[in-house]
Amino acid sequence: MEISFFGVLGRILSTSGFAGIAVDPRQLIMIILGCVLLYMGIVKKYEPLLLVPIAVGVLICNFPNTGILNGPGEGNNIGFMWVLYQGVQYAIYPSIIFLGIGAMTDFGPLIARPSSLILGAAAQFGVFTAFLMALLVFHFSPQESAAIGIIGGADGPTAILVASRLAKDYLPAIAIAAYSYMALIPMIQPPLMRLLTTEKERKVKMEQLRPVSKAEKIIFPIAVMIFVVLLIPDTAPLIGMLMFGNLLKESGVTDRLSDTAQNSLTNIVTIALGLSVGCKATADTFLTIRTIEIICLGLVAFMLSTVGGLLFGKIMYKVTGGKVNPLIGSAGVSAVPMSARVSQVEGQKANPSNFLLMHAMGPNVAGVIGSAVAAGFFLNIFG
Amino acid sequence: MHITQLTTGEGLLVALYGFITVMLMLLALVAVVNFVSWIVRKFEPKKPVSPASYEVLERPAADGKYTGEVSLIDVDEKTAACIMAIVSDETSIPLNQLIFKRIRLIKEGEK
Repeated sequence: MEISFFGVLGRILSTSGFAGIAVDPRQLIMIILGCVLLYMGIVKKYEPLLLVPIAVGVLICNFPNTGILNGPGEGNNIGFMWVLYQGVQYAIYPSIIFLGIGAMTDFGPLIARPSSLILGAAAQFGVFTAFLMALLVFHFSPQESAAIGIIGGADGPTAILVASRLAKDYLPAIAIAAYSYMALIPMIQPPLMRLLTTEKERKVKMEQLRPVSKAEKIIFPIAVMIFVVLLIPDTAPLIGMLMFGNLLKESGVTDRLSDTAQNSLTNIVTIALGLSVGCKATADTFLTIRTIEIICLGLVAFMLSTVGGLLFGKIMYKVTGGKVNPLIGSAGVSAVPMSARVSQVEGQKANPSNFLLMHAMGPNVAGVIGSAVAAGFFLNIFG
Repeated sequence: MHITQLTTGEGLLVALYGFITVMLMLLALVAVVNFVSWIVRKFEPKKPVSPASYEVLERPAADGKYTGEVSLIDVDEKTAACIMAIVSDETSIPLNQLIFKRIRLIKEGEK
């Protein structure tokens, strides 16, 4: 074998990523997209904890000739990202994230006012409407339509779990849409809230919630887990882990586990989840008209879920004789605690002495349960 | 059963059934949560608060007049004043519009 300086240099250049980009320039577009996502995460601070790992995943998987996505039998070695992705493939990461969410969530406001669960259900309206639109207008398959509809649940891990089971090719688009819209809630929801409610309704001050005992808080996750998982077994990974995490928090005897679930474990899995989702955004699957359609449908789903929650909030306002502020209905879209904060801000704009945050936290955590139930329904039908 | 296609009618039915399922499920949860709360409150012994640990602090209004009173339980006046100031600041509600009924020290493991 003859070795020459220019021969080696030529070989390095021909196998470099630059040469790969020259062959398929679409990868350059994906690298630029990765940089845009990094800008949104770092400069605009849109869900940076997830958007930054997703963006880096997009970058890494679109560098040509790395073999980082190689599975068994493809290339010389199994790629690092392929290994990481198995956590998404088998729904491990979303379930562990739910464990962390459960450990961070206080279900007290929901226990104090159980009727707020209905607002969490009403706010799933967008999920099923977007499912229909994806199916009938954009002619996605039933499985793909279900995964797209779940974006309206405003729950990233749930969207990822459903997409990983029902629409693997569209997982990155669905995840990016879900997290982007969650970050944009302060911009998406307020115009709808002001449009659908009157000044009088927004001014409503709600009665203080009753105190919830420790025993109620401990029994709640156990009862919900038993009831929901027995009724819809497909919700087991999400509801089971959510309630397990909450039990760790409330039991008072597993503080170390609760602390790990809330912090270290969730942080580690967030990194793995973000990278895994990003690494599926390859030029072949992402740069299509379908991606744009998914992004648009996701926005529609989000808006309709907000509308569903608000309209049911108005019904509750009427039924209770004006005791419920309908603004808390929009918090039913999940996205804890962002949408509850939006309710609080809008409530205070109408009436500076209004304090809706704790009242909105009830529908907010109910939305997490509601979107998990909707996901379980779709997995049951189409899984 | 692996569904690969749905007609318009079937799609509408799936969406409708899905929404109804979520509604019914969460309505049933309302009943479960209410039932659990009822059971717990029925069997949980009520802890009487020792009258000796009560201290009453008259709450000054912003205009200097005294209105109402707040019960302090195992909390000194200085701490109570701090708590009231923080709540007022966080909620942007003037102190003279806030009504504090009771400020109680919650010990670890206590409800």
